[in-house]
Amino acid sequence: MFLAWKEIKHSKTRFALIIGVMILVSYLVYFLTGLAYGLAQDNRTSVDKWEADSIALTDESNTNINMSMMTFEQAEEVTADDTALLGLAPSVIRKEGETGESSKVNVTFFGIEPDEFIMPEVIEGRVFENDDEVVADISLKEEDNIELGDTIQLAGSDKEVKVVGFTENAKFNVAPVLYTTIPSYQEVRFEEADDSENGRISAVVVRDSAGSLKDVVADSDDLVAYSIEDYIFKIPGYSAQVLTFGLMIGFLIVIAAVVIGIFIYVLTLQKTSMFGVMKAQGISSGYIAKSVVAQTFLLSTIGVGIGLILTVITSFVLPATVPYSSNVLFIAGITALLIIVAVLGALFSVRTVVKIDPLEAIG
Amino acid sequence: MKLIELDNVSRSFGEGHKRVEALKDTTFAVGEGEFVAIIGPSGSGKSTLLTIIGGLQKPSKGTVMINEKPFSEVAEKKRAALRFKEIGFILQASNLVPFLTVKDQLNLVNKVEKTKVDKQKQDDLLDELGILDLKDKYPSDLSGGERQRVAIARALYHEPSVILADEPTASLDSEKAFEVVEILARETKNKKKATIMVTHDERLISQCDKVYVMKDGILSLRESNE
Repeated sequence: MFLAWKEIKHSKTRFALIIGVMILVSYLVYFLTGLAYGLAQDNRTSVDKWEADSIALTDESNTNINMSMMTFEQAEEVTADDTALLGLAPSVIRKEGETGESSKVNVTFFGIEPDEFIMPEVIEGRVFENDDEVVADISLKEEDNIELGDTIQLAGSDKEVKVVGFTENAKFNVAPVLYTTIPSYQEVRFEEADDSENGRISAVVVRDSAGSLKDVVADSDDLVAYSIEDYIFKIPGYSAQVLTFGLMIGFLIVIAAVVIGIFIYVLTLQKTSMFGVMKAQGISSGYIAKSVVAQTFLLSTIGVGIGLILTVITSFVLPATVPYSSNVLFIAGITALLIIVAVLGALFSVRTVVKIDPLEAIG
Repeated sequence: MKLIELDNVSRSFGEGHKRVEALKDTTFAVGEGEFVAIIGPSGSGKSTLLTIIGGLQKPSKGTVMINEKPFSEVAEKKRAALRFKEIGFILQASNLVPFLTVKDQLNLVNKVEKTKVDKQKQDDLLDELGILDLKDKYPSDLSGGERQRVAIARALYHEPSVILADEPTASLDSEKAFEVVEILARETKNKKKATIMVTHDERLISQCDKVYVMKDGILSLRESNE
């Protein structure tokens, strides 16, 4: 540590450059992670909110909930401790009285029974009480200026609904969710409500930690149950996004390791003769190697630390529309990973140090 | 007491007809407080001898004892530890760490030893060598003569029993070179070290107790110290 720190203090410019590279790389990694996490969250928060164990869809739907359609009668066949009916319909809305392209908003309608467990917690306003009222995701208020009591029109339909409440963290497939009654959902999707046993919904959400997936749909020929994790992964676009971002972040971390590894290696080569003299004086390879590793640790910690501070500052000034989101666990994980791989990158300089022959420093 | 003892030490390189004997059957000893010079043309084996005494390479035959420890027989790792304890090196070009101040050059020894920094001891030593006022300077701010004094301080600081100086005056003008050798001679006597200085500059050997001449790998004592 002594040598490592003294050298950094003495050759400020040189080490500032290395730290600079570390800052940029870590900033990018943190930021991409935040974006990837935010986007992933926007795909799934409404599903996570259910705190469910599985979901039953029709076999034909190929796990695409938009294509899944079952009758109330079929839904009855799902057997589990706790079930909730769900009708799902994507739609486009516009605040009453507004015109123009920018006023259109993509949303997803969730038709639910208000007394079942998938009813979200209302943080502002109240629960919907009839077929023309909705509880909306708070992002509609933050990003699209829709307030409590506003009436919104549905594209391609005469239906109008009134926003009576807001909930949070309710996004599905990157679009805010509007919770409403099942008849209301049927109007959105099929133009008319049908509460007979042939009325159609999309899925049955299941809370039953004990039962196996097969048991849930044992009585039904047409339905298949998926665990929630499997289901989320099959939300259209979700896995492609997560894997793409994951790959990019992984590569960036490897690049960070290689870049700092090369820097440290070049610095080590430059100091070969000095290390040779030290070894001749009896300073062990272990001590020198430790100081090389300690130096890498210092440089990467400082660089990653500044990168993190910049990320936090940036996250405060970002507009709400950017799907940036992060949590302590992710940040801690990325920080540790960046520092660990940087130190690993320095390890091949250690080999060079060990191989230096003190004889050459003298002869 | 003999601090350096070589018994029938030889060193050869290569095999068969390419075999070169850099050092032939050398037996000699240096005692406490003794300042010895080895002179000879380049390529005569002076440096080989010095590195063998310093434990940087093993002799092909014979034994080296430093402070009564069989230096040539222990493994490299242990030899490095012994070297650190028993030997102070002063090299041709400055052997100082470029990014450490004079004071930190000495502190480094404490860090490696994991001992506490003794400020008084440092100041006394630097004062003795006339470089106390340079203690916060970096090697690049020092003159060649000053640098060699710091190197001497560095070599003496951990109280080795043996000082090995390889052309310590090579980069100095003759006045500065004379000063440096004078300091070496004085410290050898005061601190009871065994000092070997390898040099090609005959003018500097007047300070030495004994002068050896190395020629083609054979070391011989020069009788009259003129």
